[in-house]
Parts: sequence; C-alpha cells; structure tokens
Amino acid sequence: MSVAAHAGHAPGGVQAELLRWSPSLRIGMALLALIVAAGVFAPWLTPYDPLRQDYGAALLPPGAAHWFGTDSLGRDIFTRALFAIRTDLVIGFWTTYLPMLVGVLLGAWAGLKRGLFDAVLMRVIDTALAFPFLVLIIVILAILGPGTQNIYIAVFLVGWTMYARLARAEMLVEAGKDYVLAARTLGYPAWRILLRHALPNIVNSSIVFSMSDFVLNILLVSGLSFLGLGVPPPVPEWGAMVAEGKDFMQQAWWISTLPGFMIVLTGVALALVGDGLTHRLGDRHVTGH
Amino acid sequence: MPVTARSSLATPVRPLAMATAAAVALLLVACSKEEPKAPASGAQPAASAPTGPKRGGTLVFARLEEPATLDPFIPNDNGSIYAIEQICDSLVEPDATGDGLRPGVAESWEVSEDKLTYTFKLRDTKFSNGDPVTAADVLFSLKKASADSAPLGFLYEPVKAVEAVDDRTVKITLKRPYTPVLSALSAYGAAVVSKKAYEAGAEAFGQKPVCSGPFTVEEYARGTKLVLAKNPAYWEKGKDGQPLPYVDKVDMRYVPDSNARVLGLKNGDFDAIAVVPFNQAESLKTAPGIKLEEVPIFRLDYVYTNHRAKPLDSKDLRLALNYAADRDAIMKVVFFGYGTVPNSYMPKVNFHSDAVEKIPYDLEKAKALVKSSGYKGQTIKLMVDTGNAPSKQIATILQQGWTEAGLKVEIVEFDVGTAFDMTTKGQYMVYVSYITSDINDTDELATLQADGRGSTKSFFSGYRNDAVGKLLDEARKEADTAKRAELYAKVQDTVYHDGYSVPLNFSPVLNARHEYVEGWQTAKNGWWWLKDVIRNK
Repeated sequence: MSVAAHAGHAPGGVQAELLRWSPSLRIGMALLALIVAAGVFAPWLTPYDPLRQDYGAALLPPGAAHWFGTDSLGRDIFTRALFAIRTDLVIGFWTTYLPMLVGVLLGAWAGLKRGLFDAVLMRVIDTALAFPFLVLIIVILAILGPGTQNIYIAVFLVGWTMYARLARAEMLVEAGKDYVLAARTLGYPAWRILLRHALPNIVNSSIVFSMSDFVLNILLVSGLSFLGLGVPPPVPEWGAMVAEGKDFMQQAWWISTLPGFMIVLTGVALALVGDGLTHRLGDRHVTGH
Repeated sequence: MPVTARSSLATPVRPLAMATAAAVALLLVACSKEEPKAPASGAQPAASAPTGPKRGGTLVFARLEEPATLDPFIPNDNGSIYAIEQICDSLVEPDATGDGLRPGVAESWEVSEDKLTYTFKLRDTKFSNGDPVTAADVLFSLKKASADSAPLGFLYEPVKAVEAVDDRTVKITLKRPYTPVLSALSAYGAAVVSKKAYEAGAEAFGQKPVCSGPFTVEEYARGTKLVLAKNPAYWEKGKDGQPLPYVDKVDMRYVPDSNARVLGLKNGDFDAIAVVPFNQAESLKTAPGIKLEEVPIFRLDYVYTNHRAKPLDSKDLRLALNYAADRDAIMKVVFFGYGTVPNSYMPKVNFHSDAVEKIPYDLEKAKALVKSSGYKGQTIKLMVDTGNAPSKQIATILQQGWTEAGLKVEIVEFDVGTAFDMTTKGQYMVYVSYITSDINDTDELATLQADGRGSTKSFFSGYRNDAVGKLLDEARKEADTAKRAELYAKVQDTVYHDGYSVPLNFSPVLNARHEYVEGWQTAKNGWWWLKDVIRNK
C-alpha cells in the first residue's frame, strides 16, 4: 500500500508528480540522489583504496594527485569521504527506518486499541523520553561497548518512541473518523483496519519527521565516532575523520574539512527533502478501500 | 607504575628507574658527608640579571593530566605523581636531570660494611605547617610506603626494619643486600609526610598535604587547577642565597586538549605547557619568544600483551606481532621522528643495553611465525583509549601489518579509565599504552614488568620465566655495577625476545615555555623542578 500509488490521483504520472514538487523538494532530491550515487559508484570515482596507508604521502595538502589532500596515514581524503557515504547513509537509514517501522506500528496499535497496552506503552515512552536522547544513547553504548552493531541497538532502543507517539496521536484522531467506524461496523479485524485503512493516513507525519530524524542520526553517528564510541577505525566515517583531523587543525586543515562539509551537505539535502515533503504530503488525505 | 594517559601519548606509568643511578648512588654514599651548598639542579641564573635571579610572580603552567590525589601513598598516575614531587620530598631525591641522586630530607647517610645498614642523618628542616621534621615522621612515612596497598610497596620489600636512633637519625636495616635501595627511597612513594597531619585525616591530607617540599597547596579544584604556593620553610637555597623556590605561586591548569594548550601558550595565557603533541612541534619551534624543549625521559610506548589470552599464549605468535609491526612508519607519522625504535621491553634506564638485537620489520618472517604458532583465526582485539588520536593511528598502522601477516585484527576503543582497569584485571588482549619509570634504577621496572612472581603478574601481561626471576634476584643483590649491568642485559635480551610485548618507541617528552621562563629543568622521570624556575617578566 504505497502512499505514492494513492497519491497518484491526478493524471499524468511521473511528470505531473514532479511538477507538483516544490523547489526545495527538487533541489533536495537532486542533492540526495547525487550523494547516494557518489557512494554507490565510489570505487569508480577514485583510483585510491580508502584503507590503504601510504606513509610516503602523509599530510599532503590538496593538489592534483589528491584533490582534498591526504591524512596523517597517507590515505586520500576524497576517497575516504566518498566511501564514508556508504557508512553514514547506511547507518543513518537503518537507525531511522527500523525504529520508524516498529514505532509506527506499536503507536498506531495503541491508538486503535487503547486500554492496558496503550497505558503501558505510553509510560514506557515517557520514561525513555525523560532522558536526554544523546545521554541515553551514550549510556547504552557504555554498557554494550562501542561499535556499529551496538549503535543500531542503542538508537533502536530509544528511537522508536518518537514515532510511536506520533502515530498514536494521529491514530486517535483517525479512529473517530467515519471510514474507520465503517470498517469496524463491517467487522474487519483490527489489524486490517490498521494496515489497510488507517496507516496510509497516519504515516505522513512520521515520514516527514523521519527526514529530520535521518539528519540527526547521521549527526549522531558522526558525533559518536568523534567521541570514539562509534564506527571503529579504519572504516571511513565522517565524524571519525573530523576527529582525526582535530589534532592537526593548525597544520593540515584539509583533513577535517571535506568530511565536515559532507555532513553539512547531507544534512541540507535531507532537510530540503523533509521540508518539501511536508508540503507535498501534509495536505493530503487518503481514503482506504 | 603505570598508568594511563588521558590524551596524547603522554601519560603512563612510572616506576622508578634510573640508570646511572647505581654509580651515582655509590658515589653519594662515599662522599655525601658534606652538605651540598648549591642546588644540584641545573638552574642557571639569568644572564641578563647580574643582580641575581628575579624572584616572585605566578607561573601559569598547563598540563595534560590532573592529579587524582596528592597523598603520596596512593597514586600511580603521572598526573598525581608530578604534582606530589613539587610538594613532598623523600629522604633522597633525584637530581636535576633525574639520572643521579642528591640528598633530600636526609642531609647525609652512611652505609655499613656489609651493605645491610643505612644510617640517615635528617636535615634540620620544617614541614610547611611549621613542625620540625623528626625521625618519628620518617618512620611513619616509610611504614606507609612499604604497605602492601602502596603503589610502590614492592620496592621496599627488602627492608627489614626502620628505627629511630635519635630524633634526627634513622637507621634502615635490610634483609639482604639491595643495591638500588637509595633510588627506591627517592621515589614519590617514600615521601616524608607529617605524621601528625596525616593521622588527623588521610582524606584531608590528600587535598592539602603537609610535607617539607618546595611548595604547598593553596587551592586544589578537581577538574580545573591546582594552585601551589611557595613553602616558606623549604630548606634549599637559590643562587642568591635565599630559600627556593623563586616564584611565589604556580598555577597548574588542567588542559587535556592539546590544541588548547598550544594555543594558550602562543597567545600568552600560559607561561609554560607540558606535553606538546609531536605533530605541533614544528609550529612551536618557529614561534617567536617560545622555546620548545625535547627531553629524553624514562618512557616506553608499547603494546601491552596479555600472554594469558589465546592465541597470545604462543611465543611464535607474539614474535609475529613484533615482526609485522612497522615501527619506522609509526616513528615517522605518529612520533614525527621524535624518539628511538626500542630494543627492550622496558624504558631506557641506567642498565639499558644497546647490544640487544632489535626485531626488524619482516612480513615474510611474521607470516611464517603465524603459521608455526598454530593460529586458528581468532580475532585479536587491539585496544586503544577513546579520543587518543596518536594511539588510534598506531593501532591502524599495526592493524595493517598484522592483517598482512595473516591475523584477524579488530580495533576496540574504551575510555582510558576503563581500558586500564580491564588491563589490570587481565581482561584484554593487546593494548596500546606506555610505561614510565619513577626512579633512576632499572630495578623498579624490570621487577615490575618481568618478574612473574609479583602481584601485578609482570605488569598485567601474565609473563613468567623463572630464569628471569632468578637473574633479577641476583641483580638486586649485586653491588658491582658492571656485573649488574650484565645481569640486566641478559634479562632485557630474554624478555624482549620472548615477545613480552610489542615495544614501539623510547619516546621523549616535548615541553614548551616562553623565553622569559628561565631555569626550567625537566627530569628524566618526567616531571619538572618548578622550584628552580624563574619568571623573568
């Protein structure tokens, strides 16, 4: 039940859909596509290996051979920044959409069924949200130990709560509407009402929210790696690269610059997409069948 | 003892070692009757000040580490030890360079014919609270120093008894000849404290110790700074015949971020800074009005290796780690050429032997050793301190070499406190860290690191070689310097080629200061003699 399919009420298909996109959505999508493509085609875009150390070429400033210079171990910064797209976007994606999937389903279910399940779930969420997000993540990582896998676990444990809240609130509104009442009267089971009828209408706010969440999660991963709690070396990762350059700030500014710029660029792209989607999806209502 | 550095490769462990110390110690024994008039330290009067060194002022000094406590009987971290050295004196003190010894609280001493009895004559001096230093205080302090819980307690194990002959004479008898005993007594862990003040409350004492050293504590704010004030009762005289120290106060700031230390020095916030990261040395060398000093210290950067964890129980595998370690690359990109590629398992102290053959970088040999070790593909977890960029670089270079040798290597990061804690509990495989010696005799670290019978199990490595234990016992008893050197060389050769660890660098320390800071002297033990510093501004 793709939202896009329902959205395509208007005739004209892809072209018409594109016309409806706001400029920010178009620019954001283009940037995002560019970044994803750069990550996917990274091995063909650069002659260097992101992990290979070359001590003879350490700390070279930007030049013809190394467009963005090399780091203290002689690795090409441009290459590592490209390969880091794979690390950061992939981690960002899963740390956003797995919690979203679980959070939306749990929240919607709670909103539909109410009762004890709803009460317990909301108290759990209140508890989790009572802690500052980053502090909670760091505590969980301190217990589990650093590493990519544990980032997934830590962010998942905390991240689903926001989506559950959103989805529940939307569901409470939808549950009172005629189409849900009609479905109930027809005797449809709750799971069917939820998945086929209500979900397409309550998921929009979560999708919009997920865009800013995506940005924050990339920043989170970078921040954790900067602190040494994230992706272990030598895997290229923007935050870790910025941290590596920190001690060389005064004599090799280029180590931190490009990865820092990539974080900003990705953030801007996702923010533009999020902003555009708010307009595109925000005013739409989908009726189930 | 060892310890952990918070940031750049700078913080570790410090046992006491000294090298020429034995020779110097013997010399002192022979001729220490007269009281030294001039400080043995190398402070030079300012050339431009014919009227004598300038006095007064507050020295603002930024450090990498901060003291955890100022109680000399607890710490093994350099943050604490270097501060305690400014506040408390021992019977014997390291000299200005740290290579030799000089009188401290004891103004002279005599050694019996059989080398089993040392009689110390105490100096007529006072604690910072005005009380005279008496034999009772020395007895109390040495008892605390040799307790099992004391960090350097193992150094005083050969001491049989400490007695007060009279109020200003102390007699120490040994169970057996123990040549480095004077070096051992020069350690921070044998500082002479005021019995009255310590007994009034150890907790309070750890905040504001009452000792007879050059400085006293004016303010101690954990996490920010330690302000030291001149101890008016300190015995040593400066070039001008007045009591040291020259400066009125030392404002010791805790600045763990190395960029902040370097920038603070450049813009005048700090008069001096300790531990300049190697990558910033060049920029300070050319900065006007700033002096950068490179001091060889008793320090070895090395990869702690836990012989109890499989597959590191295999000597072949440990040697493979050594053959596949590209130390030249590490020297170049991490240490920027500062230091020497080591040929020993411990820092270069007095009985270091240059004759021990270095293990070269040889990947083919490493591959063969991995095969012969029966390696079964276990992942080797290479531990580094979170946020320690140089350690991480070292780990990345080692990982590349070890992977090429056929090993599976994963880098894991832990907060420095946790990492060191795991190390002391033996819950680690390999760990990038370092060790420093607190005394000028090889005995401290050789015993600590290689004697498997000790409480630290060869400094958390689990290494045990009974032949080495026997050699160490002999070396401790041996009075002849040449013979001791021979014994320690044998120990060095055996332990190093047993693949005790993966030694990386005899690294020096870089300190920097403004040119108006004169008389600065860094001891090889790692600390600085702030009493001799003149702030000529």
